[in-house]
Amino acid sequence: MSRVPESEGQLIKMAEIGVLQSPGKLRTLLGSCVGVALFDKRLKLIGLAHVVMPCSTGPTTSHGKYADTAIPEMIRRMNAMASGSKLSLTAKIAGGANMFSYATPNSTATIGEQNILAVEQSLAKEQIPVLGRHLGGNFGRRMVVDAETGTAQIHIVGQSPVLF
Amino acid sequence: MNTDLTEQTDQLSPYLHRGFHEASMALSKWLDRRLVVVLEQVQLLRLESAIETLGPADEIQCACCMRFTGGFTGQLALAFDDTSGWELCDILFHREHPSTEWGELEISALLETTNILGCSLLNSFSLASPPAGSIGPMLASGVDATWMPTSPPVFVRDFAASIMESILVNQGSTMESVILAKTKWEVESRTTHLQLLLLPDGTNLVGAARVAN
Repeated sequence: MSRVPESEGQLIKMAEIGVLQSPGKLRTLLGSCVGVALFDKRLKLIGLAHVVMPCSTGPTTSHGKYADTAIPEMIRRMNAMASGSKLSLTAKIAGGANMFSYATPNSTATIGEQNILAVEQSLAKEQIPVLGRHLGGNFGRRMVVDAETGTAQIHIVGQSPVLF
Repeated sequence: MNTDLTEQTDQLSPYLHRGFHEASMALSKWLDRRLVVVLEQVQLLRLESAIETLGPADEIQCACCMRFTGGFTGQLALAFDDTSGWELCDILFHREHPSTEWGELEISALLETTNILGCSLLNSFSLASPPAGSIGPMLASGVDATWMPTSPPVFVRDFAASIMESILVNQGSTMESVILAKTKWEVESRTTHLQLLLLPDGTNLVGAARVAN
């Protein structure tokens, strides 16, 4: 059994969005989903979304679930927290794995690959540069982001943590 | 897509009870011990709620997962923590000294266990299926369905949330809710921490509902 200390941050669950001003951390657990972290260095403001699927098919109340709704919603919440200051955002993304080989019976893109593509497109649309990526593979990830530094830490079972 | 699957969930339960009874007998033979897999609950959960089925998000869990096809398609996942998985291996190999790590032999034994369990369950569904074309329970879905695995089981050892998330996203990518059949395991009257999850694909259930209606 592995208990995660409070210092590892507030857990952002599937399809959720979290926003936090320093001090503090946010974390999420990823498989085929993609974790999108947005950071404003000057305001020490961080946002983390757990994106489950590439795109919404209509109006949704679950904004964090889809790449095309999660990123605009996260920016909206970060703007609200910035109290009028102009945001200057950068992004770090992780996840998009294919944990089960049977998930792709043919040559079509996996859900993970579709999620990655949709997140990249959504960030490009918002003109947010991606400073770090930890994507793909066939393993899960714990992504922890620090509001003080904007650092993202990736934990993979059986491996040493990676900073990016 | 938001669809009321309550009726389908209710229809599924009796077939699962019978299926798990058959599976228990097959596994008892395989393990040479009395083993009972009991259907505890058939739940209709929102995708976001189902994520905690295997326990706290950061805990490390193992799972043997396989896909199947038949009256409906879906996934079967045998989930367990390290200790419970090793206990099952010790029973299988009649080991005096408890296993403490995952080697090829241990993983292979658990994959075979999942295979036996899964095939036994699917055989039971085949016997229970009404003739093709009849407006029967969702097990038939209006086509002459052959129940069988579509992939060999796959072993993963990872964060509980990562495993569950990947299973759910593969299973219900167009759905807002999922049906989840949860079991309790007893090996010689002792409850273990093994869980068997049966997750029918949501889109198939909607199709089955249309046929039934």
